[in-house]
Amino acid sequence: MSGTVLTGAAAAALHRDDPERRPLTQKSLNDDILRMIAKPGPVWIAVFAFDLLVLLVGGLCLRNQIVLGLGVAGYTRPVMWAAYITNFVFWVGIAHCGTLVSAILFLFRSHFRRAVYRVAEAMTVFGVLTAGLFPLLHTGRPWLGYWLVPYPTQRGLWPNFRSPLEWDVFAVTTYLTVSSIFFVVGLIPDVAAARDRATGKVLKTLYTALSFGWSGGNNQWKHYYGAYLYFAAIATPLVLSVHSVVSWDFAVSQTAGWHNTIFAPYFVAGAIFSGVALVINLLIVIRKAFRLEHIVTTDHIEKLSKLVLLTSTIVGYSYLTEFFMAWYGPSNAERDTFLFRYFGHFWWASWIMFTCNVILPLLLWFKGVRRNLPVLFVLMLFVNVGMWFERFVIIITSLARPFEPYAWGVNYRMSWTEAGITAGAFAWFFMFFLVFVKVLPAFSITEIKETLPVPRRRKG
Amino acid sequence: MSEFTFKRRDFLKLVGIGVAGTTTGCASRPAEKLIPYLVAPNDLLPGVPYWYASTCRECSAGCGILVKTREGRAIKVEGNPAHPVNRGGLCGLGHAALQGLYHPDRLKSPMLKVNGQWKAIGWDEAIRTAADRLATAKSGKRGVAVVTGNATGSFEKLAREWAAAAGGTHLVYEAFGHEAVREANRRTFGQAVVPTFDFARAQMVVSFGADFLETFGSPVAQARGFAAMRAQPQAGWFVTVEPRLSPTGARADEWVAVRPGGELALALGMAHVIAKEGLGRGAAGVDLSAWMPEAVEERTDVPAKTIERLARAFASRRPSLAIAGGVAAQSAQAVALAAAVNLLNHMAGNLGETVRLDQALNFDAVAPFRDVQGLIEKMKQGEVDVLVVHGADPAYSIPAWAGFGAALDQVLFKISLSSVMDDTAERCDLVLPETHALESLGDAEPMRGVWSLVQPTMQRVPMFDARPAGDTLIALAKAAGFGAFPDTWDAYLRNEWKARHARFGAGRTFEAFWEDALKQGGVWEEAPAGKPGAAWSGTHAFASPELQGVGEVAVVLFPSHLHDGRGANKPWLQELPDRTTTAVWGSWVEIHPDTAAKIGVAQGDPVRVETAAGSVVAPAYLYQGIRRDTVAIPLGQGHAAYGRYAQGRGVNALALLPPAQDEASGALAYLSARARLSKAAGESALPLAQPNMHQADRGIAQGIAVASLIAMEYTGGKAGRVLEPARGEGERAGSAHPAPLPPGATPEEAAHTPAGLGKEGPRGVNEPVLLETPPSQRRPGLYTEPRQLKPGEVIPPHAITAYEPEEKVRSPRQIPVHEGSYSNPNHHHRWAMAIDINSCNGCQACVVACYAENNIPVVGPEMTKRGRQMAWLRIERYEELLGGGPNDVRFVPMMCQQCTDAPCEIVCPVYATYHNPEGLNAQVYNRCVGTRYCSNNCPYKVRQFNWFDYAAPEKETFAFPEPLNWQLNPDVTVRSKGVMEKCTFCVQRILDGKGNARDENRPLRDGEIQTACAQSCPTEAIVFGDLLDPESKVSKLSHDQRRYWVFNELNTKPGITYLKKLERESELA
Repeated sequence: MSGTVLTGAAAAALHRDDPERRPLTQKSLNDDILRMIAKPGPVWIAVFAFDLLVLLVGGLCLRNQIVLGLGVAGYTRPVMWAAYITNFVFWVGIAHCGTLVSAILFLFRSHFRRAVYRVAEAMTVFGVLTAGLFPLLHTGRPWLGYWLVPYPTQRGLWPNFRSPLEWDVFAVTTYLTVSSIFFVVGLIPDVAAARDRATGKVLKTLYTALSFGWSGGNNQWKHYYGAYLYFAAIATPLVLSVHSVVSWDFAVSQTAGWHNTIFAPYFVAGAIFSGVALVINLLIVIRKAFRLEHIVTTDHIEKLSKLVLLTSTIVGYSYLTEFFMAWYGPSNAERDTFLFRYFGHFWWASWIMFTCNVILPLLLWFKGVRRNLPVLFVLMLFVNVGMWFERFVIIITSLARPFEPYAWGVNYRMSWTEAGITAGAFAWFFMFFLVFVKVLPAFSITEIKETLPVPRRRKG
Repeated sequence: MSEFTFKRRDFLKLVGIGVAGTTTGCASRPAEKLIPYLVAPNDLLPGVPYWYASTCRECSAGCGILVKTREGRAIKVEGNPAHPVNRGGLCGLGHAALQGLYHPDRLKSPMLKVNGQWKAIGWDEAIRTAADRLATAKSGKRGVAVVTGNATGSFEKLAREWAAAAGGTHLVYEAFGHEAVREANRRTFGQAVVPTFDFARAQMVVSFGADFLETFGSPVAQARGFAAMRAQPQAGWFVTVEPRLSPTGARADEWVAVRPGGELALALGMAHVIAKEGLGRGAAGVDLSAWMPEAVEERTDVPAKTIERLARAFASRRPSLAIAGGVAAQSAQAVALAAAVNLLNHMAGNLGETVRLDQALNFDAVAPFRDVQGLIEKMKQGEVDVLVVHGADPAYSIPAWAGFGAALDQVLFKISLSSVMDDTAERCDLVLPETHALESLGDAEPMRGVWSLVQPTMQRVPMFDARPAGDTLIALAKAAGFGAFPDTWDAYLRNEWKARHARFGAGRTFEAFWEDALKQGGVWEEAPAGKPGAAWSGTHAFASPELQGVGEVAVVLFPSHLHDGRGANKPWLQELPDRTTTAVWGSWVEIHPDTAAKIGVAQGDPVRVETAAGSVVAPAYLYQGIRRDTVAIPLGQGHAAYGRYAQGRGVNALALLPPAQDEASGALAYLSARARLSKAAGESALPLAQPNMHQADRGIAQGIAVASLIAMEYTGGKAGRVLEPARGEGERAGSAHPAPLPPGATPEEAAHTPAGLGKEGPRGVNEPVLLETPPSQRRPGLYTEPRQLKPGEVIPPHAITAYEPEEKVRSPRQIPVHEGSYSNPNHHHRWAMAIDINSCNGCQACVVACYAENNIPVVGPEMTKRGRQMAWLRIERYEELLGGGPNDVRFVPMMCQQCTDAPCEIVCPVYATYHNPEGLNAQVYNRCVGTRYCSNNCPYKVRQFNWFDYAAPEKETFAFPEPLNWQLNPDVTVRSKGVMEKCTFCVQRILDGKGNARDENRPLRDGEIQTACAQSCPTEAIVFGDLLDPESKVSKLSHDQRRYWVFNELNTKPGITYLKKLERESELA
């Protein structure tokens, strides 16, 4: 700061110029955040309509696939899992960040989470909802998917509890349940605030239901924070366990390229990596769109990007370890698979992965990059492209180079149906998200208020 | 058949045959309709198969077959174990006969061409129309010509008599008629026959381009003998001399990559050495002085040293065997080549030893190509009014230069007796569809002394209004008023068999004899014990063939498994991967990678091959097994008609042939052209089932040097001394197979004992010698041993695997369903298989048999390209050594290994795949959700997924268009969309066998249950049985010293034991 003392008007003008320093008070916070819940404007409607269109295309592709058979996807014989499982792991990974930010950082008392955790949590719930589609729709007979659920039947048949896919069923449903509850519990005071302002009948009913009779009494606050801590404690291990279980879909099988002990931590780190990157992307857009720069500041985003940097190094270390172990280990199949991964038919996918996930994030060592939001936005897009390709590479290149050399060279090629359904899944996710920002308070009024100076009653 | 033993199974078959004999086969007038089951016939039990003995009519070999029928429909063809030609084996072409029977494009009625359009007409009208034409032709004295295939037997006689009565000519046309061999034998030994070969006795075989494991001669019989020969570690050296390594040549120990057309010079060069060094008999009237090895080297690119080495070995390793006569080597000097090879056999004294002129194959009536040209000439001159074609497709299989197509236009009226619109029928004026061989009565005389019967195995498929060709001919003769024939073909045939009755029916009435013959599938003489040699009688002048035209490459045309094109309309055969390239559903050009690089062509790119006569464009297949100055194109594709599966698929390579034929015999010269190559425009498209043929040190096809085997005191599967690599195994007490440690030796020492004995296979997992590698190079994963049992730990019997003896097996796998149990004392089997890759020729008969038995859908080229073939069993080809000189190509039948610790089982979330108490890895289609995790976790990649609805008739992807679906095996589920499937070890056959044994209150006998693949294998490379029966063949083979398990290091404990291929390296050096 220079020594110049600014007059009041000049200071106000500066604040207008620097949106991050707009004044923030208890009152204006409520206004700023609840303002989002208003009649949607033309931009929102256009985006939402486009989103539904993409979703419709995805739905038609899915119908086509169910009627004709999985053959419309690009599967080849050794590559029996491809884009759908890639999407599944990608979205489960995305879903990881929310709980990390809201639960783990809550327990660690990292206060920067307060401004961002609601968006992250919403992303978690919608991410799981998206991820959950894929195990179903990638099966040959999706209408029988309920057979994976253990329910008593007259046939006395139970699912196979030794199968990692069965573990997935439990991991994903548990995660969906816990993250939804956590999300809903966190919403209570804010929804109550929204309820108090709501005028529409439908919304009012919805808020009334979701606020569970919140009146803001001291006792309610006490129990609320108790419950929040409790759910944070429950959710925390899930952050680690769910993606570990997902990684065991691969690691438990003996396919070369999958059968690695490093998979669980590697996958968890990757999940946080991609999830935080997507949170950054979403926050940058939202704060711009709704003029909330003073609530979600560059500081917040910089802290998140440090998390990206950390996980990027873990992921990069895993890539190198895998490669080293393939070379060092006894299995020629493993060795061939990794050579194929980086230098075979899908070399481009592997190098996209490596570049986006390891090399580009190195820029985050520079503070200037971390605080330059346009650059950061692009960088985070690259991270998510890279993480999608990471799953693609792990799944497809390993399957394409199996033990049995007979089928080497029969290479997978993504079909239009798969591309349509993949796009549809993004549309599905953003459909929820778009509705979310228009219906629920996207930022935690409650927690942000804790950071504001306490308003004092002027003695009259 | 003196050793024809009467088994229970045979009894059932005979009962069935008797039923058929009295109800359908021998009935004077077959009933016209199938009997509805409203009132079930007393003698037909639903669910019980009936077997009928018959004869395969798919090629000239005439193998004996047994046809399985269920509820009055033929559903499976198997080789007849009692038949002298094939002894139980059958090739893919034979299995696919069923698809000819139920072909959806079979003609539903006679067809008449009116103004260029086909019109369905009734039989009466058809006979009348044809008879009018015939009567006119006969009275007008312009002539009738009859062309038949190599039908042999009574039909051939009928056709001959019929043609004579009609005042015309009769000609037997067979594209691969071996006329050069016959002519050469006539010139050199005075007998114009196609001999049989006694491979089993041969110490060494040299093939000069003869594809004796494919289409040449009697392939099933030859494959059988060849396997017997190759089973002997110290004999059976096989050298192939050809410019392009054929599937037969792929089995060779040495490939002499001779210049195209140089086979003759090479044979004479060998003869020269033998004569000069006095190693064999002399041959009068042959001047070999010009064929010094050095001179031959210039003509053949084969070093003189090699020629000398081959000659010395050939003369010394007696009896040896040299064979010539393959289509691919049939040049303008075809007779000379065959004669030169005869000379070699004569000099080495092989006549009567390995070459049996006395047991000749029946090609006697097949007209030389020169006679076919005579007919074409007559047709062109307008001297043929009516042409009748039966059992042949000359419009397709005669090259364009001979002008058959053009000559057809000059014939006033052309009648085809084909049951489908083949290329010839399409150009005829009237088609009188004949019944398929599986629904007709007939006979065949495939080789000297064998009279084989063809009997109807079912009512005629009712949707096709067809009549037996014999009946049609007789009806035509009667209507046109010529000849004196019995009323029906049946009567004619029986009349013919009076002669057989006189000879074989001693003491029986004709009816009794006839029924016996039908039951047995025919009558045959015992093979004569004597070995009549043949005297060299002839002089011969030899000159090397010259190829016509200009161009950088010679064109080799070879018959594929579609034979001369007759197999092209069978979807099973189209889907069957070629043995060399694994290409399906089309044509290709085999081209050396260097040559391809010169014209800038990569794998699958379209190549234009242009000769003086014409040009074809087909995708390139880059093949190390072909000379740089040669390209090879398969025959059999490129039909102008012939139904939905054949029409317009691939190219007809015959278009490349310039006018050329053998001088001596007139045989068509298939090897006669040089061509220019260029890259053609178009997409790269070559559907390969197996794009990669290098096993990347994975040890799938393993070999063992003969020297190592001898050092191991090889006992040939008699479970004698077993050398094990296991560390710590010596301490094991009470083992059934004690480790063979020398006294006082530690296991480590034992492991090193046979070191340095010879070259090892790429990864002899169980070969101790590999442990010699330095510790840093060892891969512990490959040698991990199952843990030892705890004291008192009991292994239930069905947990036994082929992997290790009982004592070494891990704890039994837990059966998750509480009802199932490994502790159930009633389970007494562990089904297993032993596959000898030393015997496997890669002929893929087993693959077709599997398609037939297990209702496997055909998916087409696009799906094959994407690895979506549904075959449960595939033959993998691995090229270890290729490129001239020592040669090692291995074929591995690969199907579900029925692992004891199956990776697929644990990952299935719904138990759709589980372990059954008899060691089978069962797949429950109903329960399958289709996660495909099992396939991802299967190291063998033998699980297939139903990508589309192949079983739903209303879908476009329906794989069994009516009436192909009649062939479906009612004992096997037709799988629906979205489920996994895989080899079941033919579980329906296991149940059938167990049920039969239980009915008769006796234990199962070894060999009673056979899977479709094992049954079909001409070389008995696949053996199926019960591992818990220590006396079973499979148990013994599973303890053979040559045994190994694929991906042993993954500890899946497969139920399939493979036996290593013998590597006969440097035996001739």
